[in-house]
Amino acid sequence: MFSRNRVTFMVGLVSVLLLLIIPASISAQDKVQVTVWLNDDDLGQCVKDTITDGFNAFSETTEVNVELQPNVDDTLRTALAGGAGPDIIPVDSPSSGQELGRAGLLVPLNGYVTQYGWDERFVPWALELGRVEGELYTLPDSLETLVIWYNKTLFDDNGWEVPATLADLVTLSQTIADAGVVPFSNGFGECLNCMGSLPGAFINHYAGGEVMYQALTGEIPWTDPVFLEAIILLNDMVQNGWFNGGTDRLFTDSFNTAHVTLGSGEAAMYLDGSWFNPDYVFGEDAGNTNDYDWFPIPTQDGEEMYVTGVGAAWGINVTSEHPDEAAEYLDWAFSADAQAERFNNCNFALAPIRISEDAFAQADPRTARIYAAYGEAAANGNYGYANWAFFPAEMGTAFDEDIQEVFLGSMTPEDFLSHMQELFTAAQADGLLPPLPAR
Amino acid sequence: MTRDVLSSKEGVDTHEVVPFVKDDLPPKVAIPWSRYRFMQKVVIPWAFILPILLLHALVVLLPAIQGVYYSFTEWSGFGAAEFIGLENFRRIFFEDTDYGRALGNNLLWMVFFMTVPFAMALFAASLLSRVKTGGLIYRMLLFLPYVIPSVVVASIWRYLLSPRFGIGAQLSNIGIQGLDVAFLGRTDTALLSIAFADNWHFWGFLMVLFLTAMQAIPTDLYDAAKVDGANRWQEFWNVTLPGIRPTVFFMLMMVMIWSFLVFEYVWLLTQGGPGGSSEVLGVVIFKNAFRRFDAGYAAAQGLTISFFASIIVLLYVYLRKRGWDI
Repeated sequence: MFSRNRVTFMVGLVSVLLLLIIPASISAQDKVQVTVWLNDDDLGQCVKDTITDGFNAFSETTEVNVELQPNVDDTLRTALAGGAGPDIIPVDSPSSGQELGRAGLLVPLNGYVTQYGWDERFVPWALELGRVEGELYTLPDSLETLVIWYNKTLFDDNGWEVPATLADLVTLSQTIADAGVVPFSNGFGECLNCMGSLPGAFINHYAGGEVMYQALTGEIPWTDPVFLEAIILLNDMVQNGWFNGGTDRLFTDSFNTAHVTLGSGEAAMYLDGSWFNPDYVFGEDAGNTNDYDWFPIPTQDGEEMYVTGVGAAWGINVTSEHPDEAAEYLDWAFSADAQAERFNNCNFALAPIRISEDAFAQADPRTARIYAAYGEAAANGNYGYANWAFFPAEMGTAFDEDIQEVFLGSMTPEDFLSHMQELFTAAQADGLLPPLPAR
Repeated sequence: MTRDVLSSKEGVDTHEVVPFVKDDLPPKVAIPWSRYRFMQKVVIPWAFILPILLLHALVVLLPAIQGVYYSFTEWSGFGAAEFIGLENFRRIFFEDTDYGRALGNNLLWMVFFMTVPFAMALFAASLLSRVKTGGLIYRMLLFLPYVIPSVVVASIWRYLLSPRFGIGAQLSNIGIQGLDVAFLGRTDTALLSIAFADNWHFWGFLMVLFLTAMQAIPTDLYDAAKVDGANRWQEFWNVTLPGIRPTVFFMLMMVMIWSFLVFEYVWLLTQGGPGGSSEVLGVVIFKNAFRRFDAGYAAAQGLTISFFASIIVLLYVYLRKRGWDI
């Protein structure tokens, strides 16, 4: 039925195909397999495409398999409690990483720090957040600070100037309000417990980094008058309706609504993190001709200062059979090149590593400027402490919740700070304070 | 069911409706216990039930026992737990004001759900039970919210209750003022607004249950009531309600228990805010376990919910044993 030539051809074709496939499959099987879990969203997919696939193409000995999970934080918690989970563990915050480290669920990383020189690569204060009793358990990721994003077109049209001091900010807010514009568009309807960023910003920028350090080490109490004045100032601004017209919309508007309000010019400013990307609410695609920019949250004396924090961390599961290979992947993921690629392609905040300006070549210059300004200020000692990174867990949770009661008038600023002091003292007594590098 | 309703009616011979008399049963006869019967009566039934029983033990019973254990410990949720006796419970009942506030919110929730959806469901079911044509479409439409996922329902109601975009805002645009209120952003309205959204999702299910129960009521009872000159309300009160009493009481018991388990709508809409005003026990437990890393304490709080649910179930069993027709 088949001619001899045809049979010969087919045998040859199959042989060639086998010769191509078999070495590849043998090669894949030879590589050590490690797993990492990422959130099943656009960001997780982008990180997989950018970082993980890049590593797999680069490494001759290790292959990282990404499993996208619908809610990785909850899934991971359950898995770890059951003694399972991936080799490489994403942690939602440094305090979570500290808890996992204390519980002996993560591989100590001190040896890898020496092997890969991570102490030279990471910014020292950030690396310290992953330590528990001197042992490093997690690597910090997602450098975060707080700034004020503003509708530049609205500012230019009205002749409003960027404030240098907190007093200037108050005057500016009054001017904006008198013009019939909402000073700040912030809305926390989707996450009332994210409201802690407001008092966190104000106590840092009112008191200054040095005073924050003293409070976080227990040298001065949280009831110190400087913190009370900061909370009173913030509360007055909220009661004046300068934050989205008052508590009604401050408590119910979604993040998206707050962004759109800023982009449309209904509001002038938006106090948020460096993670915010306003592009989608400005410009023609958003239905307006407005432009945006940002300025640092003012301080009392006008000296530029930035709150510092990290939003995530990575560790190695103590049950992993291949911790060395997992560390190899982490080293790759936290290299300057990989971080630059992730930053430019996925709009994912940079890890707190030393990185050249080339990393920002493709980024929006405004976003690049945040990192440059923040880095310079931090190098000069002008940095504060983000509540989500440096407060003990229970104090941080209460900080986010109790401020709502202050804004609603059911708790006084004095009682708010007294409660914070109470929780801080308890955490200090239990040895639960996050590590704080010396200034 | 029928005897106490009908015995009040003159001329109705209740003996006619009693299906049998106990004395007519044949005497018990001893049957030899053969291997075949042992297989049939013991081995095979247990063989069928054992897999699901093992799964239940693994997924429900064992974690429940672990929960009881952890409630007596200080435990972050990871690693080893330290036994601390009754300290967690002392904290719950003598120290923790958040727990007391949340428990109060759960009781308020319970009162809401024992009244509002029941009234709506009984009213709608009573009307629908008389609809001959198109009744199925009404049932489907009213049941539809129940099959929508809670995340979707919460998103819908977040926007409907928004003072900027919601129903109140739209009414305000056409001149009807006063409703563009931040229902989810005020301490006095947040919890009830969440309950309202959850009720929208839930009451259709209740309506279908009551309607099914109503359809099991013999129609001659309604005929008899009509003959006696009963109006619609009297028919409902004297025939319909007693007829569906077991269903109503069972659902009341379930709603009471479910009221202590409420979590999703509160978490999706307000996370217990603003200022803790809508916080319920489920939210408090979640925050303690996963935000404050105080899982031992959260386990103790969870155990108190089991205690409250047990009281409700025992009350129900007690009333049934006392002869209540529920």
